[in-house]
Amino acid sequence: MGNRMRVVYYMNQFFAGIGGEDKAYEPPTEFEGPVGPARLFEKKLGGKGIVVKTVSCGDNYFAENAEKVKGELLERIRSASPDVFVAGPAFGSGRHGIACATITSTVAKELKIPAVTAMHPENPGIDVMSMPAYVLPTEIMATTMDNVLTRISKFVLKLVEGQAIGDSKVEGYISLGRRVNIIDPLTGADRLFPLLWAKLKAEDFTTEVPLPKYEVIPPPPAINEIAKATIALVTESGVVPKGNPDGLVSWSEERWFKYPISHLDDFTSTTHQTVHGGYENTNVNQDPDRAVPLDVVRALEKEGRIGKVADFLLTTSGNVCTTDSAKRMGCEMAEYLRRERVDGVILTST
Amino acid sequence: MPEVAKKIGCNRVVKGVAITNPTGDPGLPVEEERSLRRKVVLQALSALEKEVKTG
Repeated sequence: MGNRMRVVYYMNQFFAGIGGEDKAYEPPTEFEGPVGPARLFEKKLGGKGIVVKTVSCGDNYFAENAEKVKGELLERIRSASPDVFVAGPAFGSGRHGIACATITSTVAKELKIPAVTAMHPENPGIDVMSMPAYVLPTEIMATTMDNVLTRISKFVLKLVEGQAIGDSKVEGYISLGRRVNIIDPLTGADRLFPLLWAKLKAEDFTTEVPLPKYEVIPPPPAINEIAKATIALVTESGVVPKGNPDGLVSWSEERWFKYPISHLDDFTSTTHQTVHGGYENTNVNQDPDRAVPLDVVRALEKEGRIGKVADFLLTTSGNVCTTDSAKRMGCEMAEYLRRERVDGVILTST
Repeated sequence: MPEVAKKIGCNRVVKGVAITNPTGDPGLPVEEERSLRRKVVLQALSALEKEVKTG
């Protein structure tokens, strides 16, 4: 490839300058040339490539119409005859990460060209990544954009020049379990012993085979007599009493709060609001039952379909929440709910 | 986004209406929206009443 390589670049509606959460339902669209971060990315290619097209889609539209969007974006990308595809970076944004991972993996598989994206290692998009696409790690916040684009551009140039890509830790990408046979001077037995010795001494060591991260949670038994059961409402949608008395934050929250609801049949725009920064809040602010269905659950209690609605709503803001924080909060909430003799939980999420 | 919940290991997952309104729909008249919300909640209750196996 003597000429400059042709790049097609994907980003969500925010980075493409279309709008924020208010435009998250925008369908796929495209721009000629580079837009948003693709402009800086193109500069970093140092004349070796040009971004011929930027494609974009609203995060919510993508999440709710993934199959259709995949197909449509693939055709828009294919029609630009790219040599390389780049998406994101998505940093800590879950929906953007899932969209980037989905389209990058699809392009790699269907168009058989190098395809690279980037996001935080805990982004749920990582679980959607598939080979032969690549994903580079980033911080949670987009403040490191310049550094990330530099890394992506160097990685892309390596791929395009046909250079061998080695171990993920050395090359700076997130391992997806790609297996490449290499000859190691030491046998398996020789490599095993130092690891075992370190483990027995309770010292740090790096395993050669990391086990999957998420634990298997055995499902609790079903509720036998739900007409006698106490059901609690829990949410990560950020619904709080109007005025947000405890200052629940809109992202990266590490606390949860409980608010009394036994005196309420319904949430309204005068009694409650949401502060979650990860979705457009208008619909839920108009009627918070759209995120936490108190009106219906209270009616079912009155009808005798359930025994009782628990006295308190447990709430947090799940936006850009690390898995460690979420797990800790979940355990704390569970302990509280068990003390309150709650039989079952309806936990709502956006 | 039920796929994310299932991936993390949630056993009882009910699909909500939309990201900006999991248990509602501002495009519907009030009574119809209430019915829709009731339908989603009844699905949730049904999940609580059902024995579930992992995997």
